[in-house]
Amino acid sequence: MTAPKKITVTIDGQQCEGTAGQTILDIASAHQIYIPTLCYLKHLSPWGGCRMCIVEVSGSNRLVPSCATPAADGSTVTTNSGRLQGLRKATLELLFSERNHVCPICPMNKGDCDLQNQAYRSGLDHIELPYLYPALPMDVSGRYFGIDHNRCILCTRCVRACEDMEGVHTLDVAYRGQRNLVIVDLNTTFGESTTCTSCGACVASCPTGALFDKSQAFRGKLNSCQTVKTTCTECPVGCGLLVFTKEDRIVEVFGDLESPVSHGHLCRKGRYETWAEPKPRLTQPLIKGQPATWEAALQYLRAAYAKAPHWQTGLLVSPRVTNETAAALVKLADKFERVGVRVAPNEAALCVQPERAEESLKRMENADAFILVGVDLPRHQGVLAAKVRTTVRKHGAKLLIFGCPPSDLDHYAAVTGHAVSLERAFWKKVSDLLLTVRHPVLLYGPEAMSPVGTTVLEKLIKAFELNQVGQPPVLVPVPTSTNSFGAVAAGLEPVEDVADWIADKPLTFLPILVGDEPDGGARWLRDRQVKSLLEQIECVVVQAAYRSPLTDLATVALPAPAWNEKAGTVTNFEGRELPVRPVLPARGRDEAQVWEELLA
Amino acid sequence: MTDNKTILINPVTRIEGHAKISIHLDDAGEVRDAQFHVVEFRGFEKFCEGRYFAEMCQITPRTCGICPVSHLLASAKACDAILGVPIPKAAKLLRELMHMGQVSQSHALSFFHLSAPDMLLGFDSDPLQRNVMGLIAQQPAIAVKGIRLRKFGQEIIKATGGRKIHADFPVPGGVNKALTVAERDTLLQGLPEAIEYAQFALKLLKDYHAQHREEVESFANFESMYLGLVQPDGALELYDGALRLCDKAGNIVEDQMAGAKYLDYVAECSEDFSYMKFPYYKKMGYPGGMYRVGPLARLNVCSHIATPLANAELQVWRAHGRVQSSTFYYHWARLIETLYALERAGQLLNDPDITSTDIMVNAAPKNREGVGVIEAPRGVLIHHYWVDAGGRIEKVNLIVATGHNNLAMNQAVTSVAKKYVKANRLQEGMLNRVEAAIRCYDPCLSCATHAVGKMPMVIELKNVAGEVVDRVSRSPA
Amino acid sequence: MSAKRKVTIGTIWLSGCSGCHMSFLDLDERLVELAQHADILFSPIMDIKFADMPEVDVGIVEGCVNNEDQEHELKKLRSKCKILIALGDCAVMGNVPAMRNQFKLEDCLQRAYVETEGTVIGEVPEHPVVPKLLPKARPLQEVVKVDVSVPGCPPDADTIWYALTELLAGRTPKWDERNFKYD
Repeated sequence: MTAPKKITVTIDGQQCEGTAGQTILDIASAHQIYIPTLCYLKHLSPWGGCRMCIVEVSGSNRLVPSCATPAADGSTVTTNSGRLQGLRKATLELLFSERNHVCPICPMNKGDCDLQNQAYRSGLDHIELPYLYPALPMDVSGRYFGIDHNRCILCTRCVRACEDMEGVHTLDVAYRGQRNLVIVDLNTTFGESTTCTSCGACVASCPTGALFDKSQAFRGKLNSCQTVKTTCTECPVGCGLLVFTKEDRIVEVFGDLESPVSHGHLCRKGRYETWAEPKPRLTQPLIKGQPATWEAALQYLRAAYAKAPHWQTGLLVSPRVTNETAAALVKLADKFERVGVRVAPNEAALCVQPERAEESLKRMENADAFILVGVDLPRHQGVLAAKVRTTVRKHGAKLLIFGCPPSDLDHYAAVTGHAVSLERAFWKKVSDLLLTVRHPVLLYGPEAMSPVGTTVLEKLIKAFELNQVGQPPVLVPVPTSTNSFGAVAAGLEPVEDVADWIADKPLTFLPILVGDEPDGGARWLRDRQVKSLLEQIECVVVQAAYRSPLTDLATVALPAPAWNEKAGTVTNFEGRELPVRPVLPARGRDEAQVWEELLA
Repeated sequence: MTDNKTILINPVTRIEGHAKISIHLDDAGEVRDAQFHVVEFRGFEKFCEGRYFAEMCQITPRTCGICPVSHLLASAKACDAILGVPIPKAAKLLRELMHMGQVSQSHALSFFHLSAPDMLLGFDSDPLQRNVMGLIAQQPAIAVKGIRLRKFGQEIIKATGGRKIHADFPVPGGVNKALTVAERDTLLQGLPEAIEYAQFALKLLKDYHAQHREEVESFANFESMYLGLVQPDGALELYDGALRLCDKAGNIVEDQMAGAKYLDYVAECSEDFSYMKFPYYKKMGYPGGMYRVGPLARLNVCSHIATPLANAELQVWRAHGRVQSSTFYYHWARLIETLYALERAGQLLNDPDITSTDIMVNAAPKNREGVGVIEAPRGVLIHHYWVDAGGRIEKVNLIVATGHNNLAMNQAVTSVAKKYVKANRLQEGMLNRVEAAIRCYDPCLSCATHAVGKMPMVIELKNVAGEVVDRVSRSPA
Repeated sequence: MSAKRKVTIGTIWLSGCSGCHMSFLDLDERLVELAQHADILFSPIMDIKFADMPEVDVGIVEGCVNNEDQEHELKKLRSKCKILIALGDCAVMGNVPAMRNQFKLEDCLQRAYVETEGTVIGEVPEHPVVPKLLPKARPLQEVVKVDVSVPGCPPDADTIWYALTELLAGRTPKWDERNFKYD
């Protein structure tokens, strides 16, 4: 492939170098030449409809939107003539007169609104046009966000974000002219939408206060917040988070556009469940349900540990643990008879798979076929589901689904095998389909490691071997647990059946390091018999950030740091080590450090 | 043929908002009655429908620019009630601190800028000078104290909320700005001077009272019930607490009424001659169920004040009688409350949690309605919102402080008109006294009609047929 | 030597909340300085009533136009002043009071005076004394010519001071991203 051709454009008298195919705006931005925009977002497909970025190009009377116009080699561009300034001001006046922009009552007021900031830049102290005052609705039926059509400028960033990033196309524009309206599905509400996944990409892309997050509204101006980049630990994808804080509280969480994994996208879990869902925090140690000081709790534990015979001690840790905490626990392993990390059923086999697919998301973008085996992407790894959807929709990639729970992805699937069939006709169809494929990506989860799952995998590999022309499939293991890869790699023993593990040998002393699991470890009690087994153990220690029936049951409960209070790394499904950075002061003590101190 | 005449005072000035007073004379030229017309309407109770409930904390303060903080806080309390979770201690402290700032500011404005010109320059003095600018020119030392006292109140508001007028500060679940140590210290430093000015104002007023006893005691003096917030032990309360209704002698009629249950005991009547409605005590019907709110009422219903300086002044106030009913005592009560607000601000500033950053909880709405009640500078303020499951406002009901006083203001105006206005001698100063009666209530008519209005500036004597019989002009001689 | 004639100012408020006038009072000690250069002939916060509105150099108007009386008064002030200032978002762009424009006027009146939960005896006020509401609340410029706009809700004292001092010096205030806000 030949290297892209270099071009030169003169912008406002400055010689600027770029490559063929770049837009005028791209080249200008690369040279710190400012052109105002409203409907443009770098990571979304350009639209060119707001007419703020118009520029003059020599040799033509027409004004072009610089965000959507490729730069011509040798051309001369003017970005800020008097004519352009006047036209941009007129555009703003039209926007303000068209709908009801009442700045004083808007959550984006005072610095977070692109429309307002552009108006200030233009010195727009009043408009010359009459106001239309249309009657427009507000929809706040969504759990995490709402939309006020009065503040919408119809820039379609939300429509493009929903399509380009999440791929569900929940939003689009209906009606005509002045009656244009951004609608949800077939003109329903967010609360009633059957397609919206609450990924929040639309809200993050909105330049005004039209789309707004309920948990952020009026709680802090984004432009006055501190920001920290960290990694989401809700699943093993490891998306980048951009966290806004003020005065020891989180004000907003957006996707980090510079994340090499997710490039700014998030799913509902990382985008909202991390911070916008109120969770009861464990704020101080409890001994048998009663509040106690750390000293008292540690003293109690020292005594209980000393009393317990070594062979009756064990330690279980959540797979959300950081690599560093896992390594520290491995060092302490000899202090307990057995130490294990809880993983999902069949996940242990996944952890020891040799492949780690680097740059998986990039390769997914270039795939012409996805084969999903034993994964539940929409519910557990939303960003991967989004990548499948957008690639299928944009490039017509084929989708084959085996042994996955029903989801919206089924709509796109050429083949859906929920019950494994060994019928020849079925596999002939699969085989024929796979013969046409050139860049397949195969995503497989823990369920693919079950006997049934491995059978399917074998059949698929056989089918691929028949394809002499296309590339072999990129194999992408997708665990369910956040850092099972890192924890097992550090040397912790995977435990798939907690009840079995507990019942295996008598226990008198059992710490469970739940850590920052969002339900405080409640799910541990949902496994059969675990509750009654724990009740028989003399000293159960639970370290958790959040209160739950498990912390209630514990002999001693100790506060652990939440996801935004930890420092360390986690290993994502690609095998990448990603940083977890503290966003707020810790309100609990690191799980391993407590034991290092206790057992020193 | 009857020849009734109407005197129209238009506009009523040096009040917050827009009003006209019409005085109706009988055949003998004596005052038959007077009406207080509030002439503006904006429609908050309708146009808030469909908005997201958290926005109410931003929309409702635009009812009034003098006491936006009252609406800010009453709105936040109503939203808290919709969330159904308690807010952190520091958030409560900060909201109350802001409230104390606004009470100080608003009372200082009412006294120095709006009412003191009458007292200090004389009711009959040159109207061109009988205003805050005239006060600045003729009695600069006093005027500056008033300006600085108001300024201090505004500084408290700015330090807590980030802005003097229309701060976006409280949110459902708490507040969005913590107080820094530096801000706290600066306010504490300014407090002694402010207290000194409040005491200075009290002395001014008490001196005036001593010199004009007869006039003061009889000025729009009529009996009524009184309604105000009190603490569990009956002490004066401006931010939280529960409602107490007393009769004209100070006996408790209803006590510790939860603000959320206001519809059980307050009803409203609309009349055709005013855009402001007439709240009344339900059990006694309309208009017999008239009651007054505001500084006069609050000091009448409370058993004591929980801060020492203000409490001492309360005892002086009560030396002339447990219950004060002359409308003039509103001014005095206002200044005692200013002292209380400043002392209370000091207590709050000295609380170690005032600089805490634990100022907000996040929660989804649990309830479908919420009521927020607070004592605005002018009296009891009630915000009531109904929402759907997503937090969309379905209905709004607002009863504002000045609204409660509507019946009383009408009565005050009638009472003063009867005493001072003789139709055959129409002097400017007499009409000013009628207006002054209104000013005692320090009405916030922007609030009361949730709206505003304006009129041409003419004083006309009209007969019943609407023909101008006489014209009184107040242009410079 | 004759003293320089003081500039005369008159202010009125229409359908606003009076916050802009309160912000004006937040000039605090600068009010004293202002008094040396300007005479405020009439204002809601002053007490002067005239048989007829006097002429002034500068008219300052807060609030939007909501009823017939206000429309009349605004036109009167426009005819009596050389420079008309629209003070605050309500005057400049409609702002919160204009939110009623999305509803039918009758619905607003019904809700306030008849339907509210506490209203036992209800009727919509209709009396010669109370002015008739206009179909829509409008910013000033849709009724009269406005010379200077000072946005803000309210504009802070510094912004107001800038506008006044520029006018007193004979200049038109120039707005850019540093010295005005809509909030």
